[in-house]
Amino acid sequence: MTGDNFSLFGRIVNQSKNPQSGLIVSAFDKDGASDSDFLGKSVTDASGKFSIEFNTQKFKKWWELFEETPDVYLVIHDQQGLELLKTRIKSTKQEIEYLIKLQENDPDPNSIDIYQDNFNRFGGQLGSVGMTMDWENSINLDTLASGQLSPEVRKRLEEFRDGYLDRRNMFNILTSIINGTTLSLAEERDFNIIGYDGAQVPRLPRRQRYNQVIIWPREESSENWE
Amino acid sequence: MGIIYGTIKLPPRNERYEIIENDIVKTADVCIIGSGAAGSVLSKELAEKGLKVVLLERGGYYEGKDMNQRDVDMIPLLWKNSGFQFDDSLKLAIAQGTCLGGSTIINDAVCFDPPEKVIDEWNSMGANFPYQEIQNHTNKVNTTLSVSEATDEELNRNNQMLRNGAKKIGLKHHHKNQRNCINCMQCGYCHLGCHYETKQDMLHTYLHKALNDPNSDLSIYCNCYIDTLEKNENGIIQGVEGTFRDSGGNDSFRIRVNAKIVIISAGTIASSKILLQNGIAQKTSGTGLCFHPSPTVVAEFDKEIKGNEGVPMAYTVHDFGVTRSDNETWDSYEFSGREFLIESIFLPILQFSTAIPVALNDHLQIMRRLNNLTMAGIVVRDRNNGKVSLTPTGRASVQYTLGDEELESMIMGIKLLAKMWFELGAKRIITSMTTMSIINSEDEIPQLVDEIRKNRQYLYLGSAHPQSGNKIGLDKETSVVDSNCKVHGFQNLFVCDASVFPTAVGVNPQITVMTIASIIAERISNNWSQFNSIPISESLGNTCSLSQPFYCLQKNLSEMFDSLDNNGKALDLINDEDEKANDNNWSFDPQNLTIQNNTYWKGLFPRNGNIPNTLTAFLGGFWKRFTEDSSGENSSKVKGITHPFELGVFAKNKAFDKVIDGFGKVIILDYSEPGYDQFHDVLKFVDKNMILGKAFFRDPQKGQEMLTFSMARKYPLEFMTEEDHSMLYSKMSKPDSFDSIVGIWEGQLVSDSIMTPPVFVFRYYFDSENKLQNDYLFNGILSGTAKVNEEDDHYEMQDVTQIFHDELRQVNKDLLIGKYCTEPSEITRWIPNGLSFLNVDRESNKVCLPYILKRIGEEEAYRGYRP
Repeated sequence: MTGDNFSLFGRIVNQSKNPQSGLIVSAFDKDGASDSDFLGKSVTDASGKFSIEFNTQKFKKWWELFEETPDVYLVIHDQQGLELLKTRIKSTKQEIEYLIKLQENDPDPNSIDIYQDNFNRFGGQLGSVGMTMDWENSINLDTLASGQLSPEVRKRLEEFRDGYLDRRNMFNILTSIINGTTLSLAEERDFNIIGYDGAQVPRLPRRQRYNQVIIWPREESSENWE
Repeated sequence: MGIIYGTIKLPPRNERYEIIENDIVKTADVCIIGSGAAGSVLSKELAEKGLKVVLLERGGYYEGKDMNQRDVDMIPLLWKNSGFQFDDSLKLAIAQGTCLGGSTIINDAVCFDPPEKVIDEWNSMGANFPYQEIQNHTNKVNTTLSVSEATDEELNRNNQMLRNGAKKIGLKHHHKNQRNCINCMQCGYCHLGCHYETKQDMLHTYLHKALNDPNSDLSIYCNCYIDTLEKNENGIIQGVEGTFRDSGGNDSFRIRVNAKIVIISAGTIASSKILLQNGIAQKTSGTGLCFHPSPTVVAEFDKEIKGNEGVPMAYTVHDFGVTRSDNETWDSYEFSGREFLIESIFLPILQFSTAIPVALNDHLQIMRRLNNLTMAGIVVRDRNNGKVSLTPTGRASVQYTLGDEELESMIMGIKLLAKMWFELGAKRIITSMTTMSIINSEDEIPQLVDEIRKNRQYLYLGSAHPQSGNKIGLDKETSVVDSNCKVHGFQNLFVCDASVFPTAVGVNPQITVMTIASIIAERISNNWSQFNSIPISESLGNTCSLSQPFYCLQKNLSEMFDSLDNNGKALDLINDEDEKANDNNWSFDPQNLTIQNNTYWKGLFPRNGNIPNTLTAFLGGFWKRFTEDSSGENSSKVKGITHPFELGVFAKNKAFDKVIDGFGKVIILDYSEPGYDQFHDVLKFVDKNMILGKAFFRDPQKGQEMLTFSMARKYPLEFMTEEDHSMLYSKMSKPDSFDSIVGIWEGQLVSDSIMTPPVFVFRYYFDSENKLQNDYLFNGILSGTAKVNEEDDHYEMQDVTQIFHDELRQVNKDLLIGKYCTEPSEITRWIPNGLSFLNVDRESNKVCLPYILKRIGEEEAYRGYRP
């Protein structure tokens, strides 16, 4: 449910993962092309935590009839006023939790794409499970055994053979699930349908500049969440 | 200092990393196979003691910045078989890591100390881990991994659901997990590797320390698939061999490690597979596996859970666990199954989707509610109900039977979780029972329980903790390793990973594995004088070198040619006068299994390169034969013929000693045959029996060669030609006795160029009438049984075809030589000579497939024959 009061909170650590105190965290609402609205400010405590609360009036001007979810970003300064980091924009209906590591990458646009074969490898491995299953099933037990196998070995081999349809069925279910998920959900643009905030880093992290910032927007407040 | 090698080109690394460009031969004090929880601890502890360590890892080297939090990208890089590892029924999905750091890279950073009760149980079964020793090493491990309790903030809503549910239904012992993380960023992607490098996996702890210790000597080889442990009669492993693979999964370079001791830490399934396929502990290894089989119970709520946000596993219910502090809850439920834990868990989206056993539209509807789903799993401390065996195609087959007690534990866990979720307001529950995957109210729980009891085979389970299979024990008939993890009957072979656990540990095994590795490392280094005297083999195995260039890849062979100084003259090329192999020009060395054949020089192209096709590799050989040229025309005293085995070409040439710019003093072959007269070969002698060469169109110029090759008149048995095969066959006699060939044998076909990889499997056994039988399986498809008859000078097998039969003789106790022949027929007149594997015997009018058989073990190691 959308409420009038919004909350932004989180924790900041440095590159060596130690909490950073005394940093100034300012929150803004990005309004299209126009200037941003200042939403509030907080200073991190000894454990690197901060929290900013604001309400609708802060970002919703009289002419912005339809703006119900502010598009929030944070700017972090040190005590000397030096800007350390600006987060990406995220809209929220209630609250956002931030986990921030003060570390920027040094992008290399020509960095090798180490993932390029992965879809094939993924599909290939799945396919080979099915192929191996079919292939091993084609071994003809009767000629192999010639009716001369000891009864218990024969029973074991028969049990294995008889499980084939069951295995094939399981495999079909698994394949359909994976196809279904990869086709209908795993495309990142479709995550929005379900409001799934997944990957927090670019697909090719070495090629792009990005912050080590995790942003978890929520529709329901963490306060009193049980 | 240490260094990591691999075949895959990667962006800049945190540790020193180099690309492999040659076959590798290494000597070391210790060779460790597998870099997971055990292998990494062993590497660091032993390297720290000043021992030279080589660590071999099948997976690749990936670190924080590579982890992009996407299932489809990360699972193929980090997970064994891209995540598709199952038991034979496909009902048990088994998660294991295959990357540098092993499963510690992809686990949920859950840490439990080894439970005292379990250690006592192990000690009563032949282990020797005094609890004080365990505690000391566990403390050391926990410190190295910065293990600490999850904070309250780290309990996300999914974890809180389990805590609240447990409270609600009156469970007593539940608390936050210990985790090996420093100020976790709570991204929720533990399974896909930690992008923020807060998880203290092996790469960031033990391996990082060992690699950066100025006094350590550690070499790590990634992308390396181990196939061979070479053993001798004295119970010594003389060498470890494997093949590197590139990112496309193709074989590239070979590695041979000659070490004083070898430790297999490849993980529960792979360690058994390596032992079994090398004929070691074939009756015991791979028996009695445990899996901690785990069903999950997912619930859908109206309120938002967002289980993907935050630490996936931070809370555990211990009331029924091996870790419980009293029996109050256990007794109050009158429970009689095996111990189990209830653990909160959430998975990345694609993995989550495969954990829900429904398909099509139902599945999509559930996935669309992902933000409102909560999930927990039941981890059952199962008995040793599983087994790993080899399939005839060389695959590791996992078989698992769910016992009654384990089933009762799952039912209890599912009942408790379902009750929890409904009492917390769940709309519906999604179970792991494929035949009743959704229930809508608490009233349906009894029905679900009935269904599970009736049809347990439809319960879909996951396992992240495969254990046991190479049990510690005193008796070599029932266990694989002794109390120091040394394989029974071996002086220098160890297994050290979760596969040595005598029983399931009942909690996440990572800390227990590391603890045992730490103990074993200490024991090995304390007793090093015992191992230090073990002789190190000088064998090169199947790796490329100047002395065995037949194993080389194109690039290496070409470089070797370039840097080689020629050690011979044209006159040294001359072969025996007689073109046919006979006792004067042909011999076999049974000790080293080498063939000397001076009827010609057997030539071979590199195994990739000129003819980069797997099939044509078997057709790609040639011979060159040289004789004295008395005419002395053009000042050459040597004339020759080059003949590709599979073509009717006999190209005439003359050999000269010459000094050429850019090549130095070499031998040059000028072809005189029309059509080939523009070609020149440049040859350099390595020694009197080995030559490297390059072929050029027109005048030889450096770097302009068309082909690179090597040729020899003395070579290992596996490069025998069909003529060598028939010579060797003629010199061998029939096997000692029927008994001597009982077992499993792997067959390779002989072509003139090289042998095929193993393409068929023979099993010799006595049937119920005590007659020797031969089950065969050719290329995994053609199968049948043949009777074995003893003839005067060979064993003979008649198969169902009634056209072909096998003739068999023995080279040594582990090597047979045979041929699969037709009955004599006039038709053979029309078949051209030596068409690939088909060999036409002109004298007997038979067509034969020549082959050799290598013993690979006892039938108990194979699926179906494993008791």
